[in-house]
Amino acid sequence: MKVELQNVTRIFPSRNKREKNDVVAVNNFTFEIPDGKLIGLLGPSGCGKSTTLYMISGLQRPTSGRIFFGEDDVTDLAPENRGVGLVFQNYALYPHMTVKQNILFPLQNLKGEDKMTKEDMLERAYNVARLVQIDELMERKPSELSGGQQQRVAIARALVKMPRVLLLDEPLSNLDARLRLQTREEIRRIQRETQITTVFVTHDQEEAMSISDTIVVMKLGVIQQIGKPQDVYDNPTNLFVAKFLGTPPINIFKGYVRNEMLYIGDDPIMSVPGIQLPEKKVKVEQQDNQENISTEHNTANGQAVDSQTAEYKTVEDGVKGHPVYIGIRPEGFIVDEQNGPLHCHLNNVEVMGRDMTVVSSNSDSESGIIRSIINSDSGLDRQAETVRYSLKPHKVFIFDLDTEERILFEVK
Amino acid sequence: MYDTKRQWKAWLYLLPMLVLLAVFTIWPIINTVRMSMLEKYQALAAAGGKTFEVSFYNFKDVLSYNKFLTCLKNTMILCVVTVPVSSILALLIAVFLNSIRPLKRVLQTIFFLPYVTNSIAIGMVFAAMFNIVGSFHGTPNQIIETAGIINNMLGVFGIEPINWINPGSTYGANITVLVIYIVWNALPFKILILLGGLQGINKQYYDAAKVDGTPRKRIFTRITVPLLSPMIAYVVITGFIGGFKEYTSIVGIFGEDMGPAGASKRLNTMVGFIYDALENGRQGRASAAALILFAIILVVTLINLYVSKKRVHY
Repeated sequence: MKVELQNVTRIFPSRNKREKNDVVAVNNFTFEIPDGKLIGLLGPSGCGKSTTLYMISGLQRPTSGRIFFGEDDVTDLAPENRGVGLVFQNYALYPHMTVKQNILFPLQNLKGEDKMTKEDMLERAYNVARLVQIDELMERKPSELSGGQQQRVAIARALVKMPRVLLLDEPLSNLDARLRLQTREEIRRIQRETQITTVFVTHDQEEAMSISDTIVVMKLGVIQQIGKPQDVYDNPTNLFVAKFLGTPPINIFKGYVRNEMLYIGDDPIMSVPGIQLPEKKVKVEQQDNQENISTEHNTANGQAVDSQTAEYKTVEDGVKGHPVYIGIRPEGFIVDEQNGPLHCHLNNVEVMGRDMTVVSSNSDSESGIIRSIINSDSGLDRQAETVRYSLKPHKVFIFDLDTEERILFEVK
Repeated sequence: MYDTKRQWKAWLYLLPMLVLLAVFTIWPIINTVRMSMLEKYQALAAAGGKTFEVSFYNFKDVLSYNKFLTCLKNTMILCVVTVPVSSILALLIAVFLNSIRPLKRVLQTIFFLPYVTNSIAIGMVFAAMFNIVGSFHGTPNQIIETAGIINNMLGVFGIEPINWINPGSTYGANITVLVIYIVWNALPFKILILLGGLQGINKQYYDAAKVDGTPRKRIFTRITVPLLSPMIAYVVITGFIGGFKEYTSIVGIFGEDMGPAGASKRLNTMVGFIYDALENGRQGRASAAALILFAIILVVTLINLYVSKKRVHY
């Protein structure tokens, strides 16, 4: 079943009547979930991902916009009439019922034409229990199960009435690390076997990347990017998405562009042919208007940026260049002791077998620390004070300092 | 933690309470058992140096005593009727209170008011409301006029005034008034407990039920009641214990005569019986009755616990 959200907005009115500060939890969402796919809604807490899930389930109503299942407009339908299965974050298994009773519960609610005989219900319950591999545990109470088993029961209960859409709210957050790995594979397998369109919510990018067909990255109620996990990782549309995906996280630097050359500090690290710098900035640069630049950045990004930009203007031709954020993936560094353009102070090396993580520092790095993943046989001198890197162009992303949007250039 | 040096300190802190308990709880219990086993025991005579034979005489005496059987019957009726009625009513009220939003606080306060009132005073108010303050014209049982608000309200619906509590009233009418009073008086505490329990139930259970299209009645019987069962058990058990100790409500409405004029002691309860025996200096009889009451409460509580073990989900 295809699920479609059209301009869905959810506003939580402010409780304080005198002050109007309504919370826009979900802001003008439009996206389509193709039939039979597994979609991950990904974002930090408070980004509206759970609200979106609950609106699809029907437990919450959108303030405006429409929701479609296939061709049916389900916006005004109550949850029970939508045909959704929902797995809650803490599973919400009825503690006083056995596993079997829990799974049977949704079936026993069916009435009219859908009403089933006891035998049919039992058969269906056992089928779905076998699918999630809990058919041995049917007589136990939820309190007698491990977290992973409870999770399976919750999925079985959601699947037993053969929902059109399966919704999972932070399905793995209550499991320990090892079980999490195992369970996410399990969810993937169950979804593949049942072919039910599945939406799940998570704040864990690794989790979302590993099992989703498509991920939707969200921030403060606004969709940032939709795409296949690899595509989103390789081509983030803005700084937020670039930072949110990937472990270890992307390394962010403050740098600048001058004459299609990218600089970090005084190091010309890479040529960026065909870079499309935003119009406004070029103008400011040409005017060489010191006042203008500093006030602009002052308002946009605060004092720290202001001092940075001021610094750029001290070099001989007045302005160093067009200031930008530079994001470099950990795997985008190549150790090049002779010709590497980027100079960093070498802190230490964490060996992990095949690869090693080189921890270095650079004054223009946003966090101060750079983590790069380097092949173990790269010939790095571990005793050296500095390390020199050259970069893989397709692992380097440039973002506007104000809008934090991606600035594209040609990668050869 | 448990070294002896510190232990004596702990005992020292416990000492005041232990002394109080020993003097006012433990010793009276032992003494009650002792007195009940001494034939025709009377404290004054005992103080005068009289000795008593050890036997079960007091128990036999109490159990074969007609007045005691009346008290037992009254207590049983009040318990069996008021505890289920008040528990079910409290459950329904708590569920509805929990599901409304506007006026919730106001109603919660109103429902709680009976709890903070004095039961004797409210008993007197009930007496006034059920009274037939009027005149008997013609035959004694023919009521023409009344100022009792209950009878006046019934009159609006064309129901003849009923003699609830005055001389000449029936036992059934008396018990009805008592049941209404006791239920009304018992509701606030039960609502409070159940409402607290309801607010402790995770809302996600209801969301899950909603997604599964569970009818409201089924949500109530299959989710709310089982999840609330520890509170329900508590309310029922304490209700029975309180019911067996019923006394003040009757004094409040009918006065210390424990019944309408001309039928005094008709509504007496077991606690009332014990007080009467004490007043008449029959400590042996009172002790035996107290132990019988204790045994009954113990048995009923054990039954309650046994049932709740099967039905209550903690």
